[in-house]
Amino acid sequence: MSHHHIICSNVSFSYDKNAEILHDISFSAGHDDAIGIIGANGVGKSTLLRILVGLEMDFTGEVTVGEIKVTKKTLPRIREKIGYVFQDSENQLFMPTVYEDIAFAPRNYGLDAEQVDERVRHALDLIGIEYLKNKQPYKMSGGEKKLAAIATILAMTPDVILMDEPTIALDPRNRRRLINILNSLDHIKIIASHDLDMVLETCNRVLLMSEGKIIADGKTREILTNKELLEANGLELPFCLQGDTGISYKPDVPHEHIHL
Amino acid sequence: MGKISDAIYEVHYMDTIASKDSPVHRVHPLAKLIVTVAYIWFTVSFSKFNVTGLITMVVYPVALFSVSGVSFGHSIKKLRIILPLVILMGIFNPIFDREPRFMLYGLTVTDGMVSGLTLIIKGMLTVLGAYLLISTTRIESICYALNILHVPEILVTQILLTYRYITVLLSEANHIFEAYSLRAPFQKGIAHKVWGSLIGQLIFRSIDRATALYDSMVLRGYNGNFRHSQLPGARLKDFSYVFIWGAVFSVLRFTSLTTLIGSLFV
Repeated sequence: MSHHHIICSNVSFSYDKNAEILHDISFSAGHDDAIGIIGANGVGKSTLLRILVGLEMDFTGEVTVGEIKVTKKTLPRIREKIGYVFQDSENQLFMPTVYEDIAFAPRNYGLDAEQVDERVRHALDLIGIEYLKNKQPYKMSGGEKKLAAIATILAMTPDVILMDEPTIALDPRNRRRLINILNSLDHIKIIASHDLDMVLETCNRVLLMSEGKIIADGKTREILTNKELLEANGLELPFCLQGDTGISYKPDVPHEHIHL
Repeated sequence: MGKISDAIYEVHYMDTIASKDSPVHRVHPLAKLIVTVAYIWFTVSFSKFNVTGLITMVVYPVALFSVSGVSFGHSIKKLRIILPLVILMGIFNPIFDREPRFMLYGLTVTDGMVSGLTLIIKGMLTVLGAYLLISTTRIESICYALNILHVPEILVTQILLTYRYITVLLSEANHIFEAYSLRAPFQKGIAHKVWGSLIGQLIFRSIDRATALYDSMVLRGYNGNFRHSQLPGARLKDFSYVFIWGAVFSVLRFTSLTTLIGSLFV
């Protein structure tokens, strides 16, 4: 079995016994898999990612990363191989400069100063943000913060990258840059997102979730072109596949106002 | 809530000036820490009636301000906040100690007045010394120096994370108060009947943010011990910095420089 492998078997999770958030989730991800997890708000996408990286441990079922079963004891080894990019980059950047933030993980894994420096430079180079090296995160734009957050996990040289809503709050140029970066990374990628156009461009497989369950698991093209399936689950076709939406700008046409 | 955003700006401002480059900024943090502690110790060790001797200790902040490029005006503005506390320390001395000490233009100056004044000067100088340390040294470097001195790891981590979490707490408070003030445009401040729920919100939000930050640290291998960046070892100039300031402080403390200078002209 390849070390680059995630197996999720019959995973269920709830904070409260009466309200299950995830129900009997099973899937596996292998080398070269780029999986988009899609679904309406509150279906458990982020929770599933948090379970994969061991931030939620009170689940039933089994999660295996590589050959290692996720348990409290194995968490340090598991986390060394998984990079998790938070939805809000503010939570990921807490050191005074981007360099220090990227160096945080390699230092924690006991690398010497020279190796740390090499890892940081490599991560900055991969993302193309060498110019941000000495910048303080609070002085950066949302797009720069997101790129820096991705660099922080690349410095760990992970096998698997998990991302929670990576394109949220990005302008079109930074979104495009992120898509290009994601396509250039040779890792297992699992991306939870509502940005179906981005999923279409970056993922070769999609898991569609609804009410805590996986209701479709297949090729991206097959699922993201299935209008009925998407609409039945609170989604719609990616914008690029919608064709003429009938929306146009008509400034001279009278329209009704809502009076409060 | 301009005051909260001002406070956030202030924390970031301190980060910015501490990251600047100057001969003082380049001195090893341990050397600066030792010199600061020595400065504070020498300053507070002056006798309570030795005003003139104490005044000569301004040589250290004056030298650091001129070499480091830290804004003197901004520092004084910041010190204004703690000035009432410093004055409070010495304000009661004239009341309790009324022993006459000398006459000045027909006015009796009492022991209490002199000791109160020295207490205020000591307070100002020591705070200024500490302020100059954090203005010229990043908090991570100060913690690194504390680590070298074998200060318990848990204490050093506490200092570092408290500093980092201050902005988290402040920014959450700022969001809450901005949202409140936008929907209560004619109110000055916040109605006291909603204080309870706002503070509750603030606590929960801060806990959430702090948990997310902690999760992010744990996911990147943090296990309770903060690994500091390895700074280059102390060099000759760092030892010289400690030695020279140690010598200056000793001369100022143990010789009466003002009398010496005065005797040259008499």
